[in-house]
Amino acid sequence: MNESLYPLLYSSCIPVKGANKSIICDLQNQCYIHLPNELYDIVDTLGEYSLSQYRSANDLETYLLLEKYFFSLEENRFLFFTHTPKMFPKLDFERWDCPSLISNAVIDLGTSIQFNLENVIDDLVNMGCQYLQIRSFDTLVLSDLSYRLINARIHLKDINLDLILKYYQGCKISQIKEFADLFPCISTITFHSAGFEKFYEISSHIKVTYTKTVIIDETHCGKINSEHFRANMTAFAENREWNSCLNRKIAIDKNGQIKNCPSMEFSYGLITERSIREVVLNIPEFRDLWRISKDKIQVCRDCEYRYICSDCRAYLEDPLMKPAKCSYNPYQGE
Amino acid sequence: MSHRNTILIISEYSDISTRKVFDYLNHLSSINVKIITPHEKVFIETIRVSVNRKKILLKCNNDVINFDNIRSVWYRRGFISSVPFPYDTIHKLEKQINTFLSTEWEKITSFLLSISQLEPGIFLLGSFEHERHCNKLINLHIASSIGLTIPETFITSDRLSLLNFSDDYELLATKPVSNVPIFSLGMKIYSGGGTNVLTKSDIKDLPQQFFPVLVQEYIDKLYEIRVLFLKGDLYAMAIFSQGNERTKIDYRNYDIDEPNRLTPIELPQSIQVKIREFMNKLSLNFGSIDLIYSKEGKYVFLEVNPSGQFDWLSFNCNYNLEKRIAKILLNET
Repeated sequence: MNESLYPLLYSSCIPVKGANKSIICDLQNQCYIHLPNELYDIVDTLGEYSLSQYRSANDLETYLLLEKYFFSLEENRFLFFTHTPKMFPKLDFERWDCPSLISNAVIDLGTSIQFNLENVIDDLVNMGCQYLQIRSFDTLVLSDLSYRLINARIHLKDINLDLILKYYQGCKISQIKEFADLFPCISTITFHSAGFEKFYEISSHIKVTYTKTVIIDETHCGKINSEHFRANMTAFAENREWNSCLNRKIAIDKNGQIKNCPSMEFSYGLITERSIREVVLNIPEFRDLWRISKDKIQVCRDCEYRYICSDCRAYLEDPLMKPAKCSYNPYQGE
Repeated sequence: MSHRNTILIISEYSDISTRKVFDYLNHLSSINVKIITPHEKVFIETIRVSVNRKKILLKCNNDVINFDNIRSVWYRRGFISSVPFPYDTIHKLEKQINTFLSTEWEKITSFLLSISQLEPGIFLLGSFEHERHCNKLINLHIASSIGLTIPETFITSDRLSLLNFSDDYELLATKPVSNVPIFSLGMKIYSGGGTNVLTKSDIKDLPQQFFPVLVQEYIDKLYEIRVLFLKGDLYAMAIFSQGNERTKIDYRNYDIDEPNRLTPIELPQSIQVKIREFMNKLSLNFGSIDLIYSKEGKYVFLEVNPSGQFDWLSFNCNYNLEKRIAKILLNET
């Protein structure tokens, strides 16, 4: 073994320290591994010392343990050995940006209010919105929805559409196919309150899910669990500085109130009275919540999952407190 | 400059980078962006070749493109399609006429895409001429004359010369001088890989004389490097395709199922200076450059691709090059 070599993490493998435990996020393979806090400082400073420096700074037993650990990280392709560690800079996360004023939106279609969906869709597309979720808590028959979506000319837009609808008797797969064929922008359709669980891929790009989960209103949202973690390059970079849930998001709740998210209490006005574009451009406070990164949130700032977590700013005990629906305690590590 | 309110992009329909730059242009400004892909037929209303009364007016999908309004042109990739030729291709003579007409058209579009270079008010990123006439051999020669290390390169039609050349090296590689060949017959498509290993026994099976082939010494690499050269700036990424400096896994044991690790890399100043000099010599302000870092610790130049892909480089190194390109096209850097 050539001891002049320096062990170094690949730049897409980033250690994140929590109060009790740490992880290494692998942004290329979109996963993470656990790391005891005792090893964090060593992993975090990889690239600064050669093997021979590790050997002279430690007793033999410790050194051999370290070496073994480096080799196991190497075997799992988190780490490599090099003579030129300075040639491999860390990823620069100062550069996160996206070409959208609004990148994602949620629209809850309720029965109590009607508004011009076409204007909303036009505003979203003009602001660069790439993802739109349309949700309905009450039964909304596909033919009625199809009528509204075509009137809003959404089939002509370049936007990814996810639909969350209430299951109803008599909604056949053939009808769903027919419906989906009209809207190439749809990527997923989820039927809640279905009474059974099933998954279809009705075409190469459209997934249909039936779930027993009953969704009666927006309060079903905001749960924090590892299924919603996103250990990818874009999310990790965005979450360092911006709120992981609300950044560049806008929502219209079931009563037509324009909000940061349908679950939030504060409304910026009724969609029948002002446009979403007006809210985004003219109400500076609308963007304030975007800036609440995990590093600014109590408890979360000490959590090792902070840069891959989905967060929630709606259900809280205190505005700068961790999500109420998160059961993880980073101080105990469980 | 205020009247120059249009950016023209020549690209292919499915190019993801074009789409991302387009989104940034719209996000950062209210400039008009016109993308021409081979799907759109371009009608030439006027090209007036004159120093003082120069005029270029094109029509594409009912849009009029007036070069007086163009701030910058990005030749990303692809070509400009003409309105259909008047002749179909059943008749032998008509076939020849069509070939002639396409040459005529190519010269016209080539002029269109270089005039933006000659015109001081227009900034041109990329080069149609280079994409069309990129020559690996000339580029290797230039790179080597600048002092970049290149693999020993040999072209021959003769088995004996090839055997003699192969004696000096442990292993040889062969690749096309032009592009990766793609042939189709009926429904079948045949395509050769880029670079292939050439063994001594392969050479012994060859006839005395054959069609000239390009042969290079096979250089054992620690990692590959992809560099995007963008108007003088270099953005580099290392591709760990073969283990690392400790394991020194031989290329033959390379496990294709494992995704290659990709990581940003900062090239030594001396190499950066030479790459800049190389690109200046070719008058290229955009291009994707392939290097390898050899087991001997040398940076070896392989080739430059004037309209190479950079989406994975930009994404995996978090360089956000699309925003940079948008700012360069807007002239806001």
